[in-house]
Amino acid sequence: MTKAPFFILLFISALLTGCSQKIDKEEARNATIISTGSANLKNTVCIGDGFMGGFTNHELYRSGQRNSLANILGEILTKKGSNTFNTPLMFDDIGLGQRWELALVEDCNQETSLSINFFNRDNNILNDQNISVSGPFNNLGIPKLKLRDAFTTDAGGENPYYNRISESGSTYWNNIRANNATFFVSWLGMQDFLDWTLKGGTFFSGTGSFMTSETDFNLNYRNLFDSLFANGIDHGVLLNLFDPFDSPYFKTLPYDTLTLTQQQATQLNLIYALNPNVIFREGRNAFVVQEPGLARQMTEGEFILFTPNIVDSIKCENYGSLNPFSTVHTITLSEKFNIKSRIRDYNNIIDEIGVDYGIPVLNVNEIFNQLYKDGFSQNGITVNSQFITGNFFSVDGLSLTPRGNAVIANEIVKVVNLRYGTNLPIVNISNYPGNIIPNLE
Amino acid sequence: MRNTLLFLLLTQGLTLLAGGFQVNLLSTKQIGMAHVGQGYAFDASSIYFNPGHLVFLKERTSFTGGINFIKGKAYYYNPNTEEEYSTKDGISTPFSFYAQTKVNKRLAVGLGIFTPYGSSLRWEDGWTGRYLITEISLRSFFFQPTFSYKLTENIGVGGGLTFATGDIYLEREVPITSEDGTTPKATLTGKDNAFSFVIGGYWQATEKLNIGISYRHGMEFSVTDGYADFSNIPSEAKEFLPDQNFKGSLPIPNAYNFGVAYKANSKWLIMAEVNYTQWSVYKQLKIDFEEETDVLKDEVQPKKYKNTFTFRLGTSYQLNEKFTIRGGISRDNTPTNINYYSPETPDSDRWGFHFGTTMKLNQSLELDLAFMQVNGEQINTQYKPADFGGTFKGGASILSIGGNFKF
Repeated sequence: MTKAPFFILLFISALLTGCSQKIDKEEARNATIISTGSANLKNTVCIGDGFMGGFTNHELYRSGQRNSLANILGEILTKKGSNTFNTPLMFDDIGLGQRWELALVEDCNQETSLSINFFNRDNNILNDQNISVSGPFNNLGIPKLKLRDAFTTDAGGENPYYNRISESGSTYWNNIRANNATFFVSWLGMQDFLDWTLKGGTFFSGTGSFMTSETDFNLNYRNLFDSLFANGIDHGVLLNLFDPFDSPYFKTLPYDTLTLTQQQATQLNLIYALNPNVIFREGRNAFVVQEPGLARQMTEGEFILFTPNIVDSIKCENYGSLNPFSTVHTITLSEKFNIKSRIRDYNNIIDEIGVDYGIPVLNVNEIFNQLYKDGFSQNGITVNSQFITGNFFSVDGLSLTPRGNAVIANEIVKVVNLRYGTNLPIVNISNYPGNIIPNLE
Repeated sequence: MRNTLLFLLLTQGLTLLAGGFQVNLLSTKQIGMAHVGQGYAFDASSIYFNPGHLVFLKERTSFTGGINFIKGKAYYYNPNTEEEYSTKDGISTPFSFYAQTKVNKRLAVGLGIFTPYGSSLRWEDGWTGRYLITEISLRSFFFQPTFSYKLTENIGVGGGLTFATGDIYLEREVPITSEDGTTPKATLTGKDNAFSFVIGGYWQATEKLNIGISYRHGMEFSVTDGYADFSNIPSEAKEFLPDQNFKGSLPIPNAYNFGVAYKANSKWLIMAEVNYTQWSVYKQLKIDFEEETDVLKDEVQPKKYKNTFTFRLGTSYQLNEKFTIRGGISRDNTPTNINYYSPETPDSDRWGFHFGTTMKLNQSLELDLAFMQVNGEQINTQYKPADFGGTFKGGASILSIGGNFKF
């Protein structure tokens, strides 16, 4: 009897420690999002170019593909019972040899600084190997692919990224259809103006790099949608196109960052003495561009296209000063105007298609506007359009990092949940890497 | 054994308790009955609860001490991303010690050493809020010389000066993607001392009813030479994150306490109590770095705590010469703000269930034992400035062992 209280205490203790303190997830979910309906998400095909397929740091490579927009969506969908998500993975992280990286680089003046460099590794020919036998692929994001090439058998010609995933003689559409998909996510059309833009808005004979006309764009997208719907792939999401001119690719080298001493200015003025368009002063000056006719200095709103070696050319080969920039490396005001109005036209067409086919449109352009303005934050980190540290754009300044893809993926999920009443989870963007900062110690 | 105990005393492991970072485990007897202590003098722990009734203790000199073993855990779930994490298991051991002696019939003096504020937890690796907090350890030790004076046969007043020393350790990850996959981390450490006071009054209104009231003044720990250490930072980002000193401060709120004790008969005691804590002083946590960079900026983390009421109902019954049993229930409302909910104190409104017993070993020695179960309610929160949010729930089991020696 005398020991009874101790035993009672022990007994109660044992009872209480057994109490569950775990979270009631159902209640937690109900407190935030209510979801009942469902679309058939068993088998999703992701249609698009490099922005969809995981092109990052100026190349398509294995780890980039694993963190691609398509694969992040695939990851979310497989969590919710979707079939496996098949990706045409490159052989390694080198890809076809075009990758850029952030590294300590010795410039032409033997000065070392942290800058963008070519990722100099030997590429393995296995990256070029045709892997169509492992298809069909859910991730059909093919770098450089234009909407207008969806029904050609060679993706417009000379696209090694397409040639490695497709059986010869098959169109891009054939590859889509092979999936027997129940759901699609389509982000095509960026290349229809970007190819032209990244070539400085300059015509090269025979490359077919002109922007796709509005008429063709409309026709091609409707063709694609007719084909999708005819094959029962009638649920999905359509992404519109973003204006790229606020990305670091265009902002990294401002038009007026030619810095001169008084002596340099005087010398250059002497050389340009016969050209009334060009006058230099000590300090900060606009670069010089060669258009048909007399060379001229660039004006506000014009852009220099960024490549790893252009900085050296500016520093040591007087590129943009004594030797004017070729128009291949610049976007002039009129070029910019044309490109921007073309993007607007494409987006109007995309909106119309969305209405006509009853497919929700994710306004990617608006997402990028928000990115340029405020950025996106989640769980204590922010991504924005700052070069490198913004962690949204990869080191090429235009394609996205895995973290940037995660931001877009979340926006797609929100649209799908809203339209189709599904309860797909979004992802934690901080679980996807941003730009890698080198450690040289 | 001695060393082990010392080790436990010095290494507070993982705590999760009570409103904010308050730890209401100040004496074993009271823990066993909802932590009520305003309206009744049990032992020398009156030094903490209400110095007004210290002088009403029968014994001339006494010592009371206790140690608590807390096993706490907090769970996190994000309904949007379906991520789940919890804090790592661990035991923490806040303690208390009190000594008192009567100078004469009207005056008693004493000294208390206790740990009323503290918090320490470590979240699982890779958890969602890792850029806000991965680990915290907040410790405080209070030393309180106290007096208690009998104004009349049934009214007592008392007060004490509090000398407090506190230290803090905060760890979080730094959102830089490094080449080799190591995790860049920031740790902030700091310490400070502060002074304050407590006053209390006690009135034996009738034979059966006692009333107690006390006020514990707040204080502020100001870290002036805290140290921020950045580790695993890729070399090319180091110039933006230099190790350096920082300043910061953390307020401890004022607390008003009111309680009654009713002696139903010679064996049965019923007590009720309300605590009002002015947590709204904790508006923000400022971290002022000595050297700001493009990446590293001074921080103002809004907390926007609310003032809270805590309600306690406890009872004890003397079974026989040897044993007394105790029980109680407490309702502790969280001061946290659901829109500025920071995962360093994953706190919610909670119920506490208390059980205890005292065994009288001989005329001068008593052994106290108490068990307390704290169940926090599920809470849906966000921390707006960081766009962080989710559902939290937590709880703790506490075993308290104490002793009371009097002569």
